[in-house]
Amino acid sequence: MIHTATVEIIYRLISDMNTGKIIRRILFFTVLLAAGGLAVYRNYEIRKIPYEKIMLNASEEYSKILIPPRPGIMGITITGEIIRPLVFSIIGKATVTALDWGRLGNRAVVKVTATIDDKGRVFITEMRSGGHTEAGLLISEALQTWIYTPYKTGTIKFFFNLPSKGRKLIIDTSGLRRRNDIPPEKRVYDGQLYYINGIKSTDVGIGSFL
Amino acid sequence: MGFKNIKRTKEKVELISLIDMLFILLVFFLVTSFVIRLPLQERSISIPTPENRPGRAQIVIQLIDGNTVFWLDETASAEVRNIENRMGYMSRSRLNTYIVGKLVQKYTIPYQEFTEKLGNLVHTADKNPDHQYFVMIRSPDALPYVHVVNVISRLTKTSYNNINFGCVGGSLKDIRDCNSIRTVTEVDSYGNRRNNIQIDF
Repeated sequence: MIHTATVEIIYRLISDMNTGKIIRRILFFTVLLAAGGLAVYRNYEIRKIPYEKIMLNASEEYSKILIPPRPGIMGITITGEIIRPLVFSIIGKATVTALDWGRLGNRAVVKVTATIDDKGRVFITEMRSGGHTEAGLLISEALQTWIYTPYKTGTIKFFFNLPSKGRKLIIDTSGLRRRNDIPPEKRVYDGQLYYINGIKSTDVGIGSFL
Repeated sequence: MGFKNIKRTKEKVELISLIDMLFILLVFFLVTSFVIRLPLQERSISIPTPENRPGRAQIVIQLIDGNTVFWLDETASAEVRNIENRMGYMSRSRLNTYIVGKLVQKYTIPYQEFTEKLGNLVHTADKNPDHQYFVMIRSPDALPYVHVVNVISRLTKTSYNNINFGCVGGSLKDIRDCNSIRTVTEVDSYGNRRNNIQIDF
């Protein structure tokens, strides 16, 4: 209906023009041709669009939408506490006595084997001392006061070799094992394993040496 | 189509009316074309929708009835892990039942204690403005929604609006009948390792 009305309006507009008949005809047919061309071009463009994009059926469209289940209906994850790594180290308490490195002299060679129990207490099981007689006594007095965090138990060995030009203290931790009651997901790191005043960190070796 | 034999009285086209009509038609087509284009535009709009995966929260508040509440928070993960370690010999289904039973027994609290806990949570949130909390409120369909509204109104009393919450329909029976409940070790976005409780319905 709109198309018929449009043609009628164009026809009347052209009829009212004060130009020659031929020109009016040419003009009319040109306009018709242009309109026809546009209609053909429109059909051509529409053919390129997929059918479902031309015809929009609202009810059909909404029936296709899948409503996903809301989080919490299918399951819940409750975040737990942060698992903090455990550090095996000397507990910094007032009861812990520091060993004075300067008092050991330059000739002391002392090997100490100790056991750490479930509560982190140190029990000296064997000690061999040479070079400086008092050194062994000083070391054993200090070591017996050290208390470790109760995450590892077993044997720990200390090798004080003060005449050495390399590492003057070696701590062998290969005999230590993490406690069985610590949950497997918790990691146990080694922290401060000795409490000695005046020693350089470069003079200490920690690991499985002995 | 003859132009030459027109002997009729000239019927002048009223240009003003014609222009009016043209404008009306123009407006009509503009509006209709805009309306037609809307569904096409809607298709291209990306609306974030919930993903089909377990909801994640720090605290789950399961309303049971008007008097009791099942409050599950991060402290429960240690409890579940402990049971898993001790009762690992049980079949998975029996272990699930055992874990849920223990949790329900330990974490079901009367309403008065629940309101105190909510107050403590709000207080903690106020003391830690940088920390974001997420609380999931589960309510059975039969329970009047006013209970949920009461919980929400308490949770929104924070000074820094750092308690977020979500509401889901569900009963304690769903938790009791869950397919599995277990602890899962995950690394969060800050690199912290956490023991989370995962409940699958």
